[in-house]
Amino acid sequence: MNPATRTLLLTWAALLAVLAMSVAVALLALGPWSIALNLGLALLMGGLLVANFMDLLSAKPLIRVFALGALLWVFLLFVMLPVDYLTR
Amino acid sequence: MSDGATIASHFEDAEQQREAGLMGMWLFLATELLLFAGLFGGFAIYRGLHGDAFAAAARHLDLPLATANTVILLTSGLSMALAERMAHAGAPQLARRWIAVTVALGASFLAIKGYEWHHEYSEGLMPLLGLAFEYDGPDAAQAHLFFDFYFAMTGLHALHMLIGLAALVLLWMLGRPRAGLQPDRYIRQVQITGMYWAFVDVVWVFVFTSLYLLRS
Repeated sequence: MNPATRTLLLTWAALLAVLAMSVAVALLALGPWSIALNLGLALLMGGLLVANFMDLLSAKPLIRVFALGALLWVFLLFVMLPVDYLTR
Repeated sequence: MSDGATIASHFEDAEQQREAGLMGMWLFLATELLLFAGLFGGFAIYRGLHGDAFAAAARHLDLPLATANTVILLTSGLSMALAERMAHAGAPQLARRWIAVTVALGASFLAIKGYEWHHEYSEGLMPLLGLAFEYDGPDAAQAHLFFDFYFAMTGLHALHMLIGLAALVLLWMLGRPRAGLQPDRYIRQVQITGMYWAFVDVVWVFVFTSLYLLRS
């Protein structure tokens, strides 16, 4: 099998495995740990999708900078949003 | 012109043209990410303020159906990535087959989502357009807010799916053997549409996690 195709299939299998773990964590109801674990697993799935299905892993540095820029703005949004609520 | 590629006059070569297309798409997706991030940010704040009520409301959603739908959408991500691979390998007709598979999976996702919405409508859990909200648990006002977020997030996601499906059907038609295909241009179109489709997958992963999985 072509290595690129193999990577895609492995990514898909990994995504399904992480999805199964996420649902299991949600059903086990571990309280606050569930939230942290579920968000971590969602980030892992998002990372796998962006890296291999959106080709960021093999992209040129300038394109990675654009992708990083998008994350930076989201990071700023999520840092500044609770600041408003925590300082009221 | 080099190796038969159609290069617009403002580009040096085919590679620069391809990279510019990808960068443009990333820039567009960055704005899309911020659009969804605003919704997720609002949800996170209210999830923090009304944790128990939101968790109880989340348990009214159909987790098995949504999990099956997530499997379908992730598989459509694979089929679209395979379409890109085939287009790059110089096999546009194979790419079209994978695009058709992606369209079928995407349409299945939307059909299941529609069924789920109808189920929530019949349970009185659709607080839209003046419909009555008949919630059978405590904290009905907070549950109302949860379902507002639920329909806003899944609705906006479904709208993006529809746009993606329209783009995929267009790609499928453009790739017909007699459509006067320009191979290098088709590869760029498939790759850029594939990025959008994968982005829709990424958004769904977070929609699914936020709404369905945070139930305790």
